[in-house]
Amino acid sequence: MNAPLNADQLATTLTSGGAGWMVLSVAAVLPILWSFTLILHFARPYIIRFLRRLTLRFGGDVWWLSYVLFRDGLLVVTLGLSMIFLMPNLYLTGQGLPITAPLAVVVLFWTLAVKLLRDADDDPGAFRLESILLIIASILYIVPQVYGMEAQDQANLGNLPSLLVSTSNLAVARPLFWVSIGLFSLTGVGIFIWYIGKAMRAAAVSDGAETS
Amino acid sequence: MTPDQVSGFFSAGEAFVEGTIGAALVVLWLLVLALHLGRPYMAATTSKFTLRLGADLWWIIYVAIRDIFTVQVFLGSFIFFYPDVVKAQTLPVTGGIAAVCAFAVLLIKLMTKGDGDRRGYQWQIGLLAVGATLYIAPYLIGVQGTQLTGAHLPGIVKALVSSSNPDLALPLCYLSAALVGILGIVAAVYNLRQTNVRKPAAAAVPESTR
Repeated sequence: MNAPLNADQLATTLTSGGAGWMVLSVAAVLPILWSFTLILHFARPYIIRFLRRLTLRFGGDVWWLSYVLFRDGLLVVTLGLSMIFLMPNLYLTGQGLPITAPLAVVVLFWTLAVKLLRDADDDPGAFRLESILLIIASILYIVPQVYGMEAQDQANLGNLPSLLVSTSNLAVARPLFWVSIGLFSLTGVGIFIWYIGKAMRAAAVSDGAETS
Repeated sequence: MTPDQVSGFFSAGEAFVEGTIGAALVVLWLLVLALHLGRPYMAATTSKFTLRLGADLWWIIYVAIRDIFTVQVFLGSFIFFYPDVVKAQTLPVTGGIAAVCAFAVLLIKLMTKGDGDRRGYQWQIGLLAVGATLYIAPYLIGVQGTQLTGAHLPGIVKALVSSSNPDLALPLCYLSAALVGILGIVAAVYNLRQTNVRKPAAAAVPESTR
């Protein structure tokens, strides 16, 4: 069907085409954001080495706070943009998205949970855990994006690209999607319960201090 | 307008974005090389400050801009790891290898003493020069020379553009992605082995950094 479109059809086609273009652009930009996230996370020894050279506390403050702000802000932005992978219409229909992207979102959420529950800058174990989670999440996203979504015209890769795109491998994509939604929700609930527990403990301690 | 034309409209948008990134990278490569080569000037200016605060800020801003642009060059070059983009768009054929050079510079910054390590700095300059050449030369002669005519020029131009030389561009695309992956693993392992390196002691570091 290639007949000229009437005004309504043109508006609908342009809107859905624009939405698809936007989603695919976000998906294409995310490997860059993931790389930036990894670079900033693993730049920590370099940042600390430079910090030690600064002669003034003010300079040290500016340097370290800028680093932490960018590193953690970028992590949150990456999670925010990745939320499109938890939308069934985008992931399970249309032109498809990287097949393990929802799982990458869950692992990224776990990384942020580690950051929230433990102090990764002072606890080497937490830093290690955070690093490993970040590496796993980035592989889960970047590999199917580059060799699936961005390699669909490559005959030399055989069946690989179609296996890595959600809409062309629905048998794997569907369960993966619902499991990811479940894990994401459970993690969110877990963080909420932890926060309520912490607030109640803090209230109990302050009440105890007042009565004594 | 027909449905095919609407689809073509969005394909053109994608090509425009990728072409613009390709053009912007020329400027970014030059900027990064200039900022690294400008280090003696920056260091000389630092010694002229009469206030330590000014000198610290000058040096911090210089290092931050220099390094963030180096990261930007690598991130912008990420399109060279996308096989479909490399095959379809007119991009420099060696852009992916240039991206590997940028990433190697970042790795050197991470694993050496940085500005205090003269040898490491020389390696950084060398890699940046190689990377800039591998990017800028095929961009100017190849991508920006597709409408030139002459006895030998069209053949050279064709060889330097990814879409007209996919037999070289695609292997380089896969090779550069693999090299970046290996360098990335090295960076991750280095970091995990450094987890015993803590931030400086409380006395030496500002309150808010603890």
